[in-house]
Amino acid sequence: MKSAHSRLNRLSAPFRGPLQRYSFFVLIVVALGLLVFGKAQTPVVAQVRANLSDVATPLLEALSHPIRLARALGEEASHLFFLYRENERLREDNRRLLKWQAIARRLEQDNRHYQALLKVTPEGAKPVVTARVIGEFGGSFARSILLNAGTRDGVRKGQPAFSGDGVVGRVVGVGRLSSRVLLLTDLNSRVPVSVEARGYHAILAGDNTDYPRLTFLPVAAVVEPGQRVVTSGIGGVFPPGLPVGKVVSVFRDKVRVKLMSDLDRLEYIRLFAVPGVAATARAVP
Amino acid sequence: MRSGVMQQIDAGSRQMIPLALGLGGVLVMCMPYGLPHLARVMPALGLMTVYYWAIRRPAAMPPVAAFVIGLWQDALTGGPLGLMALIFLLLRGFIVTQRPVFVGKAFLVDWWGLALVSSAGLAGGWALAGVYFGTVFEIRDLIVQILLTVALYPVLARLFHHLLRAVPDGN
Repeated sequence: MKSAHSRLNRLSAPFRGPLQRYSFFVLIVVALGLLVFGKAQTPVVAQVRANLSDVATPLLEALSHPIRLARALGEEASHLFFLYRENERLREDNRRLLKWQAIARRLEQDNRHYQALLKVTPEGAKPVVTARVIGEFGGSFARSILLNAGTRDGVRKGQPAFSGDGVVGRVVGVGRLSSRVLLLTDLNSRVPVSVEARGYHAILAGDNTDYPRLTFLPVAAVVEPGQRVVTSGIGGVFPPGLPVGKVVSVFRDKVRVKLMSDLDRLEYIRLFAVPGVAATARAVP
Repeated sequence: MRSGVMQQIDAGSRQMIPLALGLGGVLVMCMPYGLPHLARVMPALGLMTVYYWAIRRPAAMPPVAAFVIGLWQDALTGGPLGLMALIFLLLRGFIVTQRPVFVGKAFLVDWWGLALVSSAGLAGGWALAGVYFGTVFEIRDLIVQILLTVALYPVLARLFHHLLRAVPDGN
């Protein structure tokens, strides 16, 4: 073993030094090149990233089983602990919701009647695919998650992502087996929204904090904490009316929004078809 | 007795152990733990792997291995592609020139070195990402990440120590 190994070493020794030295400089140039081309949003760089994510997908899925088990156990334990209080709360919720149900039924009927009168075609967004979160990433400069569904499952770039509670972001990269969702809190996230009650249009802009900002509000807008923020549907990426969050703080021109979904605890994500691109998305197997 | 070819394959695959550890470390960093804020301050397992092996087995952590681990991290974390690849390459180059300072010294020296290298590497990545995106990122996350990285190193070094003898010393 030793002799064969040292023979190999002796043979390769004269080449190894220069090879390593050159490889160092060549790789530096490659890394800088990737940075520059990545900044220019070259499709090749996006493809490299998607392919590497695809390679990681089965590994991440396998590794995530014990983590999911631990998370489930932890949640189970805390549920048991708060069982009594939870039960009381649910009873109260149930009473309240039954009242709302009656109202909703009546409104639904009215709505159907008016839509029939106006010959409106229903535009309700349908989820394309439900996927599991297999990776979450931070570092200090990015907020995104990796899903275990890709082009194979009908995922396309730009599709809005939704947890059970509200919008979480949109698909920015797709591989065959995996896709990356840029979260609303990411620095590069911009989503057209409207503030409910008055219907002000604004852009929800992430800045890597937990509470994204409302920008481009009308100058005369009066915004108060507690107001609901929903997608406006402007720009055509997000269907209108999806819940996003609530205004939490208004400080001079800085309006911050608390998101409906807890981005730290995402598990399953629904992706919606982008209006207008839906037909092609479904046609591809 | 195994044949010469088998021995060469065996030695070759053992040389790949540090690369595999680095790639595995990055995967562990990206798991969905579901804990608030953890993803932002995740200890830099890839960086620690590059550091540990570049000092002890530089031939098994060549520039290309450092580059691949960095690129893997960039691809998975969604950061600028090439950023950590560049940082890990530079760190690997620096560490290898400083090897005499660390080899055969007490663990505290090694730990101190990791503290310096991880601070420089992570702060460098943070600054470069700031330039790339044209902004200044939260410095608190960076500081916590460096502290967690330094705190976790003794555990990781202990794990790697068990594998040290399995990786042939190329020089």
